Amino acid sequence: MPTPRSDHNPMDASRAVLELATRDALAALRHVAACLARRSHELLGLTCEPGVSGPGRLLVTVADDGRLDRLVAELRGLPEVCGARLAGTAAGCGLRLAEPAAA
Amino acid sequence: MIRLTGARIIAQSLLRHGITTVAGIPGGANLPLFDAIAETPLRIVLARHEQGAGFIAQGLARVTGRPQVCLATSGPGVMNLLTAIADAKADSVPLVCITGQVPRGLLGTDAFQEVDVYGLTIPIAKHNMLVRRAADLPRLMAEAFAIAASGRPGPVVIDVPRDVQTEEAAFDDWPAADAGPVPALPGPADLAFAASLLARSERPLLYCGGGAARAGAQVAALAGMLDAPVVTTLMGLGLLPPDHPRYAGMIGMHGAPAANHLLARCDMLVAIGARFDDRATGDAKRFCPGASVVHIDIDPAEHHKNRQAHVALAGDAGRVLTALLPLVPARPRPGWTAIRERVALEHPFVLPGLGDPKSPYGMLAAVAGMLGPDAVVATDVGQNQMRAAQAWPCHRPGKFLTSGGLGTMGFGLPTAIGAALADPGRPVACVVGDGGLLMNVQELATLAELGLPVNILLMDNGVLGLVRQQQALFVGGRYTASTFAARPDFVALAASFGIAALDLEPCRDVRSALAAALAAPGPALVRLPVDPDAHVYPMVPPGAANHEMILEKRHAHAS
Repeated sequence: MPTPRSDHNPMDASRAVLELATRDALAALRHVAACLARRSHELLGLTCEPGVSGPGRLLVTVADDGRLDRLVAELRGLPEVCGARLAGTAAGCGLRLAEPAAA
Repeated sequence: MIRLTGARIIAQSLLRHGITTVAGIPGGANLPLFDAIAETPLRIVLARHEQGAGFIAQGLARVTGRPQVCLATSGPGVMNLLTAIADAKADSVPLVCITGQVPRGLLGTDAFQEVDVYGLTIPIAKHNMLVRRAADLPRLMAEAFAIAASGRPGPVVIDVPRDVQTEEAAFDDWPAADAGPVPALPGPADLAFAASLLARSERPLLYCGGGAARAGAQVAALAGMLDAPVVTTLMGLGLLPPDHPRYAGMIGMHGAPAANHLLARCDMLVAIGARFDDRATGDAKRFCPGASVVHIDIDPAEHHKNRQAHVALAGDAGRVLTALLPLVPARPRPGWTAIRERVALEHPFVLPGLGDPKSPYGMLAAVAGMLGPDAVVATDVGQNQMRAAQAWPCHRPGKFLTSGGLGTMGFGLPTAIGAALADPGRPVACVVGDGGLLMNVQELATLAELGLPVNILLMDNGVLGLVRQQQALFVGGRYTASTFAARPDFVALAASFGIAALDLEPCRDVRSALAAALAAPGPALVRLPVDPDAHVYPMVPPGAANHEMILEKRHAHAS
């Protein structure tokens, strides 16, 4: 069986929006940004929505370079993040839903 | 109602999590914590540099398999600790690093000895916390230990401002011990698909890393059912004993030739607790090029990172294999066995000087034989590390401590101290070069103070050996900045710390001298002079495939 290939050109990539449920949105913010930096993801936008009593939400827009599933898996592993999903992709790719982000 | 200061909450939490020893250095910002710890039975090991403290804690953690604790003060204290934290992250070692910080009112003011510990440690720690209230500490300490130990282990940093340490907090009860979430097993469909691929394969090979350390029995069982060889990474050494019939050796840049050649011939690669690190794979595009891949790893983020897998199974290696084994039909694969036997004959691995205790390999073999299979060896980084990986017989996981991911020179001595603290009755060897020893040489004072039975095996060649080797092979023999013009008298240096030392250079009866040095109580340093041009072979050149090894006497610069 041939090895599956993953060859994407970031310049041609469409955008994707990741939705993260957080225990503490402000605390998660820096960890999420650092994770994106460490894995060389293009961060295109980041919205932080702190919750009233702790839990909150982050909306992260990144270039879809074919590594989104792995990025979502990595973000799910951050202690401050309690759920992560691919909320949607732009550039006419239609909405791709992953499992819901837990509250 | 329990009323305690923040410092006492930390100290009591350490006891509640089974900590018996902490390593660190006090300073202005963590004095209340040291004061509180001194009220408890906890043993404080005073390192001579915070990096040493971090590696002492690593030695404790790598041997016990449980989170261990190091302490540093703010500013330069924590800056010195960073390398040990990053090293622990790279090798998945559970640490809880508690750092002092300037008082809350001074945060962000560039106060004396203030650095942004939280920001500095985000990319190099598994998790980090800045404690803003003493009342949060019972919960945060429990979370820190749970996060450090659960899933893929790693270092957790807790930054505690000085006034949080002195602040009193009241709380009803200690939080229940949290073992962290138990990783889920892969779904039955994924397990069945993996089993079907394994059943169809004709030349399966098991490639195991540090994440497989607790799954030796299951790995051996799967290898038996598949009639497959097992190769390991540097971090996987000891998974199977060297004489195990399924064990085919270490792969990678300085791996066993036959093991590296087998990689190119397999049609099914089962990666277990391994992350396709470039030192193990060589040119990733030519690593097991025709093989299907089943990747078992507790960290889903490792799947498809460096190699796309046909089946990615997330979970603890032992539990996943236990679930997979009943689905895999056992059958002999005589064709594959014949290939393995032929490869082993065509690519023997003969270590030069193995019978001569005055040579690097010979000294390692002689000392390993004298210390026995229960000994722990901590290596430094460089030629000494690769020689130890090739020659030291590792019979069980957790006995070969090495900086595999970050490759930190200076790792060996303090880590050996930690290993000896973890189990004072067990012999410990520290294999180190002169360059690496000098990078944390101050810990000789810690070792002398503790009187631990650490035997330092110093391979003294006066150069940065692996750098020089690369310069010889790949930089036209231009030895820029890799030779030490000043050569310390290491025997006298050890003696100045009060450590017994033996120079093998003038020795005639080396075995007897070695035996006497190892048998003496307390620490000892044994110096072996090494030819600076003695290279470590085989060597996979940068960018080459694993089977394209440079072998001894094959290169003009290496002769």
